Amino acid sequence: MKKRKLYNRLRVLREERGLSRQDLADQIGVNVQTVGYLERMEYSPSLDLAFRICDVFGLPVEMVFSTVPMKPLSLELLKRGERRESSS
Amino acid sequence: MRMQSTRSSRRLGVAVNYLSLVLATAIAGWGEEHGWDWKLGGPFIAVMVILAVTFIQTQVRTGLFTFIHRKVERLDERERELSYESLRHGYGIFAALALILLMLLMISYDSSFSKWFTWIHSMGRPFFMAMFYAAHTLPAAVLAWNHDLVKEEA
Repeated sequence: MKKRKLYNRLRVLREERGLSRQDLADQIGVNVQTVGYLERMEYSPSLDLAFRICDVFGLPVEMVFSTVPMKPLSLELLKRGERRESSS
Repeated sequence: MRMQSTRSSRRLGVAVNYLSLVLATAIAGWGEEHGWDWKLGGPFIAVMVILAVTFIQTQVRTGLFTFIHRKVERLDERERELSYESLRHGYGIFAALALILLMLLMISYDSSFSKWFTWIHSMGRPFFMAMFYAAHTLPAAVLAWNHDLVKEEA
């Protein structure tokens, strides 16, 4: 069975938090090269690793990973804000 | 695992490495059969030096040999996947090689083509050493041959 490509916001989130690849690798318990592969979306993580990554950033999994190309985080937050305003 | 060389240079290194292994085995086999002298010893040493240099370049300096022989507990999930793939392909090639050589050995005893394969009977110790080397290096050679160059900015 062919694996589906997983898209992610790993690079943006890591840079936003001022973490180096080595820092992130140490926190999630992988080799620094694996972080590079994840950021380039050349490797799809297991569910366990995906959750470990989300724990580091304190975000829900759908904010970090997706099966479709991801929009910029600012756009997504803006949309959520608009949706909340229209419902209230 | 460090992968600093280009893929084409690594492929060239792997090809030269195994060609020199075949050549060294053939020379050693001939030496075992017909006796050693300097005409044989000189080329043998030269081929062994090429074998050692290409082994160091393609497997030691790239860190592939260490990577393949690392304990599973020390690998992350991507590395385990990579290690599994290279071992699968490496030992697949090794099994095919061993079966072909067994078939040639069988032909050398039974068939009317036997005179073409008498060389295989002289492949005692050198042949075993070559197979031993192949078993230990083929998985890393598969990685050196197939793996993309990894560039990591820290």
